[in-house]
Amino acid sequence: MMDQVQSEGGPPEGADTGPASVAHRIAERRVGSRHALRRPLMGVPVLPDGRPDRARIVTGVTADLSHGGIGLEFEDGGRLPASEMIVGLRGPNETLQFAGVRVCRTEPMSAERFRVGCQFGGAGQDLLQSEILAPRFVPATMSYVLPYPEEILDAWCDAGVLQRVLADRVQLCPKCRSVASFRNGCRQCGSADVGNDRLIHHFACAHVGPISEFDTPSGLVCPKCRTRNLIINSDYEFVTGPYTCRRCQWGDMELEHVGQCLRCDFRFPGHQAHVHDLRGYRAYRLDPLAVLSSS
Amino acid sequence: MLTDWTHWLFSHHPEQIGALLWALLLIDGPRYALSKLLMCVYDTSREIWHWLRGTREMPRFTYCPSVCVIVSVYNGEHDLEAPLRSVWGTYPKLEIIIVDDGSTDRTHEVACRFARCHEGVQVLRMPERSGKSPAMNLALQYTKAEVVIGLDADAELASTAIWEVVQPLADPQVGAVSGSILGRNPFTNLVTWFQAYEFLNCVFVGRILLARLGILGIASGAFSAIRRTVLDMGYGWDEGSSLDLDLTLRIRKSGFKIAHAPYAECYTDMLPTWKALIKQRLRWDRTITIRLQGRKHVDMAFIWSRNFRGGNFVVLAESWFFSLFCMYGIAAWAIWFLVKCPPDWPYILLTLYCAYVLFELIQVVVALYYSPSPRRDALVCAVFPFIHFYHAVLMIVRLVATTQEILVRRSYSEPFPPERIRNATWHW
Repeated sequence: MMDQVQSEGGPPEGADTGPASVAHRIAERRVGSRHALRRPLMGVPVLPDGRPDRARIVTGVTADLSHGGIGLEFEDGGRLPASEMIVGLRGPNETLQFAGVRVCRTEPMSAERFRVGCQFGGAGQDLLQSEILAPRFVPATMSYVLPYPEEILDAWCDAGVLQRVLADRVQLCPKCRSVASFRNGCRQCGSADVGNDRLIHHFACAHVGPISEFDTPSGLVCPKCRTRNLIINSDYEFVTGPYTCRRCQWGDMELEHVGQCLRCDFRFPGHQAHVHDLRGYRAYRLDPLAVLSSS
Repeated sequence: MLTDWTHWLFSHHPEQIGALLWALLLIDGPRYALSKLLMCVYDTSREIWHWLRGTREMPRFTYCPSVCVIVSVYNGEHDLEAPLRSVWGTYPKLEIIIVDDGSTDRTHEVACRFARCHEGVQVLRMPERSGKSPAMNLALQYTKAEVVIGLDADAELASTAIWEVVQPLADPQVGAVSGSILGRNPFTNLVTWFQAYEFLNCVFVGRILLARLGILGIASGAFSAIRRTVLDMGYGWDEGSSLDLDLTLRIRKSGFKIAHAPYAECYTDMLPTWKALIKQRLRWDRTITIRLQGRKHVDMAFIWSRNFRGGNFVVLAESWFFSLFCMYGIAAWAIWFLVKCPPDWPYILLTLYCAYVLFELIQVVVALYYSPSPRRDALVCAVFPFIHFYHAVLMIVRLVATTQEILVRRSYSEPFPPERIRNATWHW
């Protein structure tokens, strides 16, 4: 759809100065039908290093909206501070929704007002991708890192475009802070090689013993009182014995939650794991169709 | 009144007074007071003899087998830690197994927390409430100790109690040893005071005498030590209430002796209300004399039985005589007395009361002679002039319980053990 070109005419004279000067030479290429939409908006210029230019935040109104771009109107000076911006306008539920735009064309409307044609995309739109905003697991280091520099994302938070969120809470190795695997295991040595016995409790004589004691070729027979043909739940029940570690012979009724570091192999009780909050970011992205349908 | 009574007393011939007190002079006196007095005189003479000859030896702990203390507990989250703390660290070769009998409160959590902080403590769990016998038998599967000690979950041991209780097991003929059960809360109210005195007199001193005569028929479930090989021979505890008496009689049948360690002290809470006490005694009395001694283990008294021995016969005969014959005899006498209502009935009752108090005083002296802390026990014994009222209440309870058991086997409709097990087990 974006291959089809719909030109909106050449740049106005004397309007091609400033960082957006290149933009007017690029024709705004929007194919989908444009819908008139007048809503207040804010625009945060994106600096070349990806940070927001908070000193030059501009305000204006939207002129129209289409699937691939947005038309904006500004009043002060007829100049835009940047060729790429993140614009925010109120969505259907009154939350500010943001979209990254590339300025394609500026056009004066009067002495103080000018119109800007933008396409969705550019560095601002890339920044708003969810893949960038959530921490990612790096197998080489067995740790979580953010794909984008954290200080830049924090700057966008301060500009009001992003919000800090708790992406996840992970338990890490207390020694090297790497990711660990967890399993139920022996409290003494941490081994997962544990098992427990099943015993039979014969109700009539109160004898409790391993199944092998009761198991005879003629069926289950109580070794204490010699009662034959025992029926489960009527004559006997199964009782689970304590877990026994096959490595260190430790016995216990309950297993310990044991962690093992995937990087340094350090084994530790689950409650000693380092609990780390993985910080992520959230952006409310502009959905043009939702905005249009609500208007 | 007292002057009238004195005149009444001296106006009768000694034979007439003797006829009034014949039961005390011929039955209760020799059994409970004079026998203990004789034992006390014998021990004192022996002590003096050894002291004069310079051969007096202080008791020493020389036997040190491996010991496993089994604590079976149901819904005891608040009481469990005290017995465990009193046991742990008091003996070198000690392991503790806590069996949670399907508790519905935080008992398992409390037990596991204790086990994590203390070495040699193991926690086991029954899937649902099954009673004490299977819980104890489950624990047997997980210990190799030479001696198994059963301990109630609301009891506390003195620091040398385990050492004391295992010493008699140095004799290979001894199969089980009973510890002394004493009141932890004797002065809470009159009911606990009565019970504390009863335990001091019957368990602490009474069992010294019975053990010496070789006719001790019970090792308390609250605190007793049992030889592991003996337990293995009989596959542990049997189902049913009063399982301590049942196990002791089975051990006697196997030919082993039952010993008593009077200075192996275990402190347990006495029941604080008459209602709770009567409920407990109804349960005990229904089971002990009729169900266990009169039905399940009655073969111990049959001369043609392979379980017959002189000592075993005396154990049962003594119980039947005092708990059945004397009890129904006293009941009959009481009815006769009420119907007949002799004109000098207040003097008769006062005479009987004074005679019984005098004999009780003998027992108090004996108890204080053997007591390791006479000052503490003297206070407990101070209730002795009134103990006969307590005994009278318990005798009525026993009368009701025994009659119920003889006629309708009431013990099998009690809520202990749980119904699914009660229905599956044998009704003796």
